[in-house]
Amino acid sequence: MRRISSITVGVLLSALVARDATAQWNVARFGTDRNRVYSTFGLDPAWVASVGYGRVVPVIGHDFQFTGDVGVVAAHLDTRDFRARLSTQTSLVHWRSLRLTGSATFITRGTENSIYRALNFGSDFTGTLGVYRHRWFTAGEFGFDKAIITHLTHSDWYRKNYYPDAKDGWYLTGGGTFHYGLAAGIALGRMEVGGRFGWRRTERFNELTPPIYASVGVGIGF
Amino acid sequence: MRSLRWLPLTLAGLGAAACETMSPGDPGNLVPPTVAEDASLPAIDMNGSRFHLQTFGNPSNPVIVFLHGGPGGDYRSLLRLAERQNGYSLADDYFLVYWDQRGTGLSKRHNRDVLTLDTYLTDLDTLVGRYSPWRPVLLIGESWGGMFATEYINKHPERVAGAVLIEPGPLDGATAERLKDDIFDFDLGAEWLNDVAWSGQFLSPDDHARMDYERMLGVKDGQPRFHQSTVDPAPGWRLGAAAARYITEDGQDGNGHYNYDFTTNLAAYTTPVLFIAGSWSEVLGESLQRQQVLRYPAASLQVVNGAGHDVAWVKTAEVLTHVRAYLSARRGGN
Repeated sequence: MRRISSITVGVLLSALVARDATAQWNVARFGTDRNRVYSTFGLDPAWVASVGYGRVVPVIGHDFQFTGDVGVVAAHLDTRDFRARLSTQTSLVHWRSLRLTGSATFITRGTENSIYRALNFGSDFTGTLGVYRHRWFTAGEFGFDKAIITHLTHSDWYRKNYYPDAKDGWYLTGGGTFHYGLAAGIALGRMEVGGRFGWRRTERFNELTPPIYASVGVGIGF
Repeated sequence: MRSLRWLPLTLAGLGAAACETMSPGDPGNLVPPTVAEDASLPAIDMNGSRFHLQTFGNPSNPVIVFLHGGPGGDYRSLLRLAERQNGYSLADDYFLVYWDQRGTGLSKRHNRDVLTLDTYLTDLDTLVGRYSPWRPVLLIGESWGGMFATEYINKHPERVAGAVLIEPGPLDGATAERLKDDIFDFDLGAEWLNDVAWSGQFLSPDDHARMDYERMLGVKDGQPRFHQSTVDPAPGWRLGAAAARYITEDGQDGNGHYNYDFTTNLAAYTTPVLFIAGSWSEVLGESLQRQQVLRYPAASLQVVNGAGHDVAWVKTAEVLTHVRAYLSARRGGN
């Protein structure tokens, strides 16, 4: 009962207080709490609010945190613009407190706007290199988010006013985004507060709107 | 049974692989093919490029060249001005030349090096020389097209017999600096702006087709103070994202501040010019145009009630009434 209460309080608290970050948590704390609920908010790349759950699982004696989260674009709580992610993060190598971590994420995204509706399946691979202590961490991160396959349906408005012969269907490699910046976090009891900030570029290193990402998140371990 | 757990996932993967997939960058998928990709489109070649162009009327009549908005728009939204309204068409008395400017609409795409204000001026001058080599032309420009017309008059006043400027944008950089925050709704919580940001994960702007397509995201909701019709929206073919960006940037200094001035020689242009504004239009409407008519020695303003920035599309008959009266006066030498 106590565990259920802490989960409930954690979800509610994090949903109320926290704001977005992808799941870059302190790998040095994976041995402390095996479960985590978290919430994130930020410009990533639109204003997105997410909630998620993670569990640390040992695989051949090595800790991996598996997480799942869902998020929606917070502007007008537009649930047509959403994403769901399944991710794993682990420490790849370390020397004292210096660690190289890696995460792999499967992403499903949806959107509906004035010109099209789309459902997309993609992936994100991110690495970080930084100092991970039990109570805090700071690291540089570099990652690549790829829209692998996207089903796209053009809107009636677009067809009527611009291009009636636009092709609906599955599109391969619609986009890819590099992101690079800083991630940091601090532990306050069982709560971990983290943030990320950095820049975004397309896979051909062209500019994006917005050119930056910035998000904060809070997780509660139990 | 344990091994069958992977079956649904495997089937889903095979199903996706079996689907016929497309590339967003291929012509005709997201945005229409241009004249460089579809030989059946009406086009002319000039200045090392290929332009989408249509004409209406008798070539021996005085020529009116239409200049569409943007930069980056196309002439589709101006075509109603060529239609017959109340028993009259401009094509009865004039030879109408509609064209998509370099890199826009259905004209051939280009990269930054040839998307400059100077190239645009050369294109228009070549077009004028081709269709009206022996007498000055008339210009009808809308929004950016009104700015472009002014730039051309400023440079080649002897080649322009008159102009109708429909809701022209700022004619100089100082005015553009004053208005730039009002042109788009840049509220960070605006849904259209978040749609733009979110869309970049699905289609990243790494080729012209994707750039042009995503440029459309701001068209419907991004300019609320323009008060354009949602019932009868002005149509287009394709927004030229590269043209929109690079022509705009060519009017700015290295810090992104507008520094162009299309009015330096207007004092010498004593020919009457007609401005038209929509009464609902806030940013480029009546108040701005009352200031801008003063940049010409002999200009007047007509305000059309019940329309926003897209006045030429939604109030075509009223606009044509003013245009026809102006052109008749010009023919009469008044």
